Amino acid sequence: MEPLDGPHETRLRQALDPTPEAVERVVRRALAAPRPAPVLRLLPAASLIAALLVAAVLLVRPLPTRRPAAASIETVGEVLVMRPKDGPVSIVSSGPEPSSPTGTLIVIYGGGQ
Amino acid sequence: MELETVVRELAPQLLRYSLGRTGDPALAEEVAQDALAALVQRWRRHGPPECPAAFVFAIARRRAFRLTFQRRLMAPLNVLLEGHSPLPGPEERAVARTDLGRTLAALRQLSGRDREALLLVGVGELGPSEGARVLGISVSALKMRVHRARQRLLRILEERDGTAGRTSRDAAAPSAGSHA
Repeated sequence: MEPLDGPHETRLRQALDPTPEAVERVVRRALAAPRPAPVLRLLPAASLIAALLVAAVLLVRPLPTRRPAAASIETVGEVLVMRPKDGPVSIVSSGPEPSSPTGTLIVIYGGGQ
Repeated sequence: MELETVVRELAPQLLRYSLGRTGDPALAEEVAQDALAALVQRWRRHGPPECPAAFVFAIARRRAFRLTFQRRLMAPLNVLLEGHSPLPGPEERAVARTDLGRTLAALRQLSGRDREALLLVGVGELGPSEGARVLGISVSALKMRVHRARQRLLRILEERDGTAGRTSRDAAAPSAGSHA
């Protein structure tokens, strides 16, 4: 790189040169910058951890456990058969078509009935 | 390497750079002080940065940009609310006639990129690698920008000096006729 101290750059620097008072003022104020308190220094990290914990509690809920089926339902032709794990089997049929709107037949058997 | 020594060494360089960047001595002091205060805090917390000069100049650059931008944004409001005239006042006109004023005017004629490179290297006295690091460009790109800025500044200053010379000669001999 060509030398930086050409006459114009020297002149540029001289024109922009600060006063000794300005230099002293800036140095004094910069060195007097307050030291960060230890608690304040940890504040960003602590807030981040707290926010992550809240997010974890709100967002990550326990998944519902899959329970065994309580009953099975199947259709055989026009008849619906419901077989509960415990208890009576239910058979639902719409009855003879289509003469009567109230022709639903429910037959319950098993379980002593 | 001692903190206070480093701060004292960097302060005049930063002030020069900031003045060239903002064109306002009060703003330049604010920029330089903020950058040095950031260095002091960083040094006390985590020890000295790898390159203290690059560290403070990078901060000063961002701060100068932000402050000049804010000032430009607020200028119309200041005119409205406080009745400040947008035209330069007597003090600003006096400064404009000084060498500083003329130098700042010449710097303003450079493109932003070239001016930034020249201010960092020529005025802030950063080394080429430090300057390139601050600007986030390669050393060769920085050299090119500085070279271009120097050539342009040289032309501007020569033209200005020529005009100034003619003006003073014309002022001394008014009977010589008017000048363009």
